[in-house]
Amino acid sequence: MRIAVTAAYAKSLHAIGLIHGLAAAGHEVALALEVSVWNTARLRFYLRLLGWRKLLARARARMLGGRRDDDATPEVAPMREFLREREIRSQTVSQACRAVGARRLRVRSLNDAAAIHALRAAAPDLVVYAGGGILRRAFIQTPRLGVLNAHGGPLPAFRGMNAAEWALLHGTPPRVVTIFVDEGVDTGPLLMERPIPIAAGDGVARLRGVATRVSVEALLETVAELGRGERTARPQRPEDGRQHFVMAAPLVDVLDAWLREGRTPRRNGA
Amino acid sequence: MAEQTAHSTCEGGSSAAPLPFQRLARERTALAVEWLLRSIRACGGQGSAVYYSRWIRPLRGWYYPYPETTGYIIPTLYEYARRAARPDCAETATRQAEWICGLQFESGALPGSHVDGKPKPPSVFNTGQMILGLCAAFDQSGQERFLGAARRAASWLAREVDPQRGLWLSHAYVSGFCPAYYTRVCWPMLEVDARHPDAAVRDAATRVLDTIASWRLESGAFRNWAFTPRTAAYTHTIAYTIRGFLEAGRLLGEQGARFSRLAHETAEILMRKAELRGGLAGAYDERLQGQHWYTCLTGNCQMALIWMRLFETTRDARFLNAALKVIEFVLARQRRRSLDPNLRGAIPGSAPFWGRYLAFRYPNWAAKFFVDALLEADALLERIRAQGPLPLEAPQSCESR
Repeated sequence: MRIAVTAAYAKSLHAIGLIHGLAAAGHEVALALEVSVWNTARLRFYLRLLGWRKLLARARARMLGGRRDDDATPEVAPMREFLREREIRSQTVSQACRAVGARRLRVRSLNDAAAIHALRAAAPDLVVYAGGGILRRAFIQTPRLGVLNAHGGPLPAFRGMNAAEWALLHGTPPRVVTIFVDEGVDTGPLLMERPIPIAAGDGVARLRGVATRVSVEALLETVAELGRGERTARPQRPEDGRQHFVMAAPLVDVLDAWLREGRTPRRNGA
Repeated sequence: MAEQTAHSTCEGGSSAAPLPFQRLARERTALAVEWLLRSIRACGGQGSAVYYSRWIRPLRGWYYPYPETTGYIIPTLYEYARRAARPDCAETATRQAEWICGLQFESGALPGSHVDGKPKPPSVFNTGQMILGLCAAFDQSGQERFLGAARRAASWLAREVDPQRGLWLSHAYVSGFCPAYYTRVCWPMLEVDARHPDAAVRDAATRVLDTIASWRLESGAFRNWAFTPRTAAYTHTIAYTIRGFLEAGRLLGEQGARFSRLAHETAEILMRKAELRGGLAGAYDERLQGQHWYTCLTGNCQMALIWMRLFETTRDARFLNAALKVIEFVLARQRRRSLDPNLRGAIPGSAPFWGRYLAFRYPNWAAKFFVDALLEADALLERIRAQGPLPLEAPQSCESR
C-alpha cells in the first residue's frame, strides 16, 4: 500500500518506528508530515494545560537538561528497545524518511493548506497517524481508505486522553485499539485490539511507554491485515463511551501506588 | 505545627503513607485555617472579617465582621476540628454560632452586610447562609437554641416567599431582583426541615426551587445567576446556584431528583469546559461564554466541591479529576510567605490578583471553600487509594450538548 505517516515532532520514536516498520513490510511510505513544535496552537494548548510557570520550567529544563528521550526514562525505554530490536538507527523523522526514500514535510498544523496539498499530491491509500493534533475533515477524507490511529485504551468505554490510565483506574485491563479516525474524539470504526502487558513493578510512566510500543506494533499489524483485505472495521456508537481528559497528577499518584501494590488488573509482560 | 497538620484517617481509609498531594493539602489546609482563625481574632472573636486587604484598608487590613460568611465558616471549622483533632477550632465555631444568635431579629430574620455598628436590614440570602452555621452548631453541640434560631430563620424565609411567583421579592442584595443562586437559600431551609420537619418550610423551598429550575436555558446556564441582572455570572454565584440544587436534591430524595439532575447537567458542562480550556473562566454569560482573562478562585474551589459530590454519587472519576486540577491551580495561588503575617494562608479573590472578582482582596469565604475542597479531596483520595479500582458505571452524561 501507499502510505503517509504523521509525526508530532522531529524526534518522535513512534513515527520513526512506523516509517521503518511499514517500509520493511513492503509498503511504500510516500510522505511524512512532521508538525513543527513551534506553532501558536500547540503553545496555547500547553499554556492552558500547564500554566505559564510550568511551561517555562519545562522549556528551561529541556533547553538545559540535554536529551529528553533518555533511554533510561521508563516512558521512552520500550520504544528504544523496539528500535534496537529492529536495528533502526534513525534518530529523527527526517533520517527515517531518507532511509526509506520518503518525502518529509514540516508543517505548522496537519490541517494547513500546505499539509492537505502535499497529502493530495502523495495520494496515499492510508495515513498512519503518529500524533500531530486534532484532524479536520479535509485531512481525514483525503486518503483512499482513511486515517488509521492507535488509541491507548479500551473503546468505546475510554475515549480521549490517558485512556490506558483511565482504564486501570476503573479496574479494566488496558488495551490498544486501532481505529479509523473520524471527526469525533475516538469515535471512529474499530479494527483491532491488543493487550498492554503490565509487569510487576511497572509504574504509570512505564505503562505509557509500553502502550506506545504496543500501539506501533498494532498499527503495523493492522496495516498488514488491511493490505491483505483480512480486516474489516466495526462501527461504535457515540453514546457508548465517555471522553476522558488528561489525568490529574494526584490520580496518577494513586495509580502508581496501586501498581506498586499489585492492585490493578495485570498481564505479565511477554 | 505537626499537630496542626495531622489529619485522622477517614472511614474506610488506609494507613498507607499519604500521597504527595495529600501531604501538601494538609499543610495548606492548616495554613488557611490559621488565616480564618486570625480573621476571627481580628474582630475580637465575634465574626470573621469580610476580607483582608492593605490595598483597600491600608492601616488595618482587616474589614468588618461578616455574619453571612461567618455562618458558613462554622461547619468548616467543625470539620477541620474533627479531622485535625483541634478542639479549639470547634470552640471558636460554637462561639460564632452564639454571636449569630445574638444578631437575630424578632421576626427570625438575620441581617445582611457586615457589622459596623450601623443597623442592617434583614437579608434573605444571608439568613440562609447563617442557617448552615446554626444547623452545624446544633449537630455538634446538641444545643436546642441553635436549632431554635435556625427554625425561626427558616420560618421567616418561608413567610417571605411570594405565593404567586414562588420567589423572594424583598430583602435582596439588588432591590427587587431574585437571583438564581437563591437555590442556596432553599438548601439551608431543607437542612432545617431535615432536623425538625416543617411542611411550610419544605413547601416554600421547593416552590422557589421549581421557579428557578424553570429559568434553565438551552446552554445549561440559568437566567439571573449573577449578582446583578443581565450580567455574566462569576463562577462563585454559578457554583452557589448548582450547589443549592444539588443539596436540595439530596435532602428531598426522590422528590428532588429533578433538581439533582439539573445540577449534574450544568456541572458536567462546566467540567468539560474547564478540561478543554485548561481551567475555569472568571465568569460565564448565559450562553456559557467565559471571561477567561481571570478566574474566580472561590468559584474554582466551590466547583471542585460540586464535582467531588458528583463523583461520589455517579462514580464518574472525571469529576474528581477536574476537581483535583482546579484545586491544584488554587493551591499554587495561596499566599504562603509574606512579611505581613496576615497574608500567610490567604486566598485571593481572583487570579490574577487584579481580576474582576474582589480585586486586591483576600475574602474569608475564599479560604473557607479552599479548606472545604482540600478536606474533601484528601478524604476522597484516601478512600480511593484504600478501596482500589473504581467500578465503571454505564455512561449517563450530557456530552452531546
